[in-house]
Formats: sequence, structure tokens, C-alpha cells
Amino acid sequence: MIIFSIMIIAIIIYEIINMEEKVTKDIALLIGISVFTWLAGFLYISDPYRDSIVKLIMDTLGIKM
Amino acid sequence: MTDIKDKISTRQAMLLFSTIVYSPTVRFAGTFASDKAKQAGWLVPIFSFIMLVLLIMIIHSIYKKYKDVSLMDAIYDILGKPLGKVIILLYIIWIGILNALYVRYYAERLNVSTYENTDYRVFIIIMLILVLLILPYGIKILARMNEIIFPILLLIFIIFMILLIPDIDFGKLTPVSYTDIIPVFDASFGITGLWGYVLFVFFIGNKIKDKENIQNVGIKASIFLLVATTFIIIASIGTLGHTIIERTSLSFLIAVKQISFFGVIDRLESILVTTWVLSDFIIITVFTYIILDLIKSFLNLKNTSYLINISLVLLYILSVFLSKSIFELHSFSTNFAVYVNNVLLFVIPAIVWGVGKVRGKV
Repeated sequence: MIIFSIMIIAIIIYEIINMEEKVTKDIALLIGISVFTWLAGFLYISDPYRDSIVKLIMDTLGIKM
Repeated sequence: MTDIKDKISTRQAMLLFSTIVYSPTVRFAGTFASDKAKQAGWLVPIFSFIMLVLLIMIIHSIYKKYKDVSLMDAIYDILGKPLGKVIILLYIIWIGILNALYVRYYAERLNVSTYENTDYRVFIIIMLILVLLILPYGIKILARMNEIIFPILLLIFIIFMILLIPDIDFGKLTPVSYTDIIPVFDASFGITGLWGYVLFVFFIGNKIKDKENIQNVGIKASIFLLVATTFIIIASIGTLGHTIIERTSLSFLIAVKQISFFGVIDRLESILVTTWVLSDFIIITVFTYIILDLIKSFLNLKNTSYLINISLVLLYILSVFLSKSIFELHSFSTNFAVYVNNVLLFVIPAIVWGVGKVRGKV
């Protein structure tokens, strides 16, 4: 999890440094997607055996697997 | 507007589409068709062909009026920005899920068919690194790569078909009667859902030139897909029978395993797996490119190249989190994804076109 978090932070820093125009909207979007990625990664890495996305979707819609 | 030098031709776009549908068709068409339509499964592509031609005519009709814009801009203009944005958001989410699905299928298939003892995540990481290397160069380079990849896939496919002919038992493809019409129609949802990916390719219509040829080139591509898919299903059902094929997740692979040419040429399945990887590479790269382009349109951004790295990390997480096994993936595809594909790729474009007609915009 620590390595994953460091990787996400490194990507954010790298992309912001290399942005041609440092527009607030672009930076906010990059950070937003990064946070979402980190959350998804946190959920998966904290318990890789939890219900999968497919199972959650199918259960929510009441479709038998 | 994109510079003309950065654009691909309609022919290249259709070649990309043909390569994109190769891998899912080979994996899915035989199993889905034989499960629903039994021995008449080889007739399924006929219904799907009609639907694909209709979709191509809708896209052609929209692009006759909206020559130099993407399909997203056409949708905004026809339905209005608020509703258009909701629809584009739906497409972003769905293409994201499909992309994760294909990444996972690619890895699971390598695992099941060739490398049983290797962690599937290794394959995902290798594929995503390749995508990362190619994606920044844009759609034109990808289309050119595909002009090399597509003939290779086609040549290998033709060789497989020729070698499979002696193993095909035409008795397994009959009897066929009028009572098969409903099951064949039901089974057509599967292939129709895959062929609807032509719409995804035309989301980046602002990067495609000579769009006046969409109908002409599109119908040629449709006929090609009709013939190729019919052969794939005939080879699968005709070799092993529908009872076996409907219970397998890799029907065409099993059919190819039967190839033995006087005991000299056999074990050709590894070549099939290679062609799958090539097709999967094109799917994953094109879908990622389209998602980034949709995000650009959705949020009115100038550039989304800074999202490539993080989007591929997200794609990795989604693909490993998506399912626990190939059985979950298969169930998701057959019981849910194909029907969502039909709605998003045929019903919504038809509604957009209908509204456009009423409002005099197409």
C-alpha cells in the first residue's frame, strides 16, 4: 500500500511538472482521478478477497451469475 | 479542429474496428451462439449484420451534417448539452468497464490457455506498459500499426479455416428450420453487442477524414465480419458440436486444438493465442484513447495527455478488482454486458438519430 501511494504521488508530481499549461482545472482533474485510483487501490489491496466489482453489479441488479 | 495530418482515413478506422472485434468474437461468438441457438448458431451473424448495417447508416447520416466534429459534439447539438453530457458520462463509465473487462480477459486467457502457473497480473502489467508506450503517439500511429497487425490476423485466420475444413462435420450444423428463427434472433444480441463497437471508433470522428465513405467502407467491413464470424461459428460448432461448445469459455481455441494435418502440423493454438494478444492490444489502446477523448469533450479540456499514466494505473486496479475468476467474467459478459452494449450502441444512437430527424438536424 505504501509503494502504491508513493507511485500515485510520484505520477501526480511528474504530470504537474510536465504540464504544458498549468491550468487549475487540469490539476484538479488529475488529483481527482488520482484520489479515485488510490481509493480503488486501497479497497483492493486492503482485502483482495472481497466481493469483486462484477459480483457487486450483478447482485445489485439481481442477476444470477 | 484536428489538423488533417493527424487524421486517419475511414478505411483505417474500419480496420481498427475489425481488429477490435476479432478477439471478443473468437472468444465469445461460438459459445453464445451455440448456447442460445444450438446447431443453428452459425445463422446468428445474419441478424447482427442487419443491425450493423443500420448502425453504419445512422452514423453516416449523422456525419453527413456534422462533417468535422466528433460524435460527442453531434450528440450535444442534437439532444442539447445537459442530456448530451449525461449520455457521454454513461459512455465513459461503460467503456471504462469494458476496457477493464478486456484487460482481464486478455490476462485470464493467457493463463488458461498457455501459462497456467503464472500470475495473471504480470501479463496485465506488460500489456499496460506497451499501451503506455504507444498511446502518447496518438491514433494515427495506432492505425498504421493496425495496418500491419490486421493482415497478419487475417492471414492466420484464413490458414486456420482451411486447416479446420476436414474436421468440420456438417451434420453438427443441421437440422435448421423456421423454429430456429427466435433462438437465432435471441443469440444475435451477443454478436450485435460486439459489432456495435463501430460506434466507439466514430466517437473520435473529428480525427477521421473522408467520412463521406462511412457507408461504403462500413458495408464492406460488415460483409467481411459476417463471413468471418459465420466461419468462426461453423468451425466451432461443426468441429465439436453445440453441446460441447456452449459449455466452454474458449470455443474457437478448442476447435483449433483439433487441427492436425497428417500429424505434421498440429498444436497451432499458440499461434491463435498470439493473434488474440495482438487484437487485445489494439482494443485496450483504442478504448483508452477513446475514454481520454470523451473526458476531454465532457470537461471541455484542451489536452488529456497528462491523464495517460494515472488512467492506466486505474485500469490496472479496475481489471484486477473486476472479478475473481474467468467464470465471473463470462457470466458478466453473457448475462449483462451484451445487453448493455445493445442499448448503448444501438438504441441510444437510434434515439439520437430520430430526435435529430425530428429537429431537422440530420
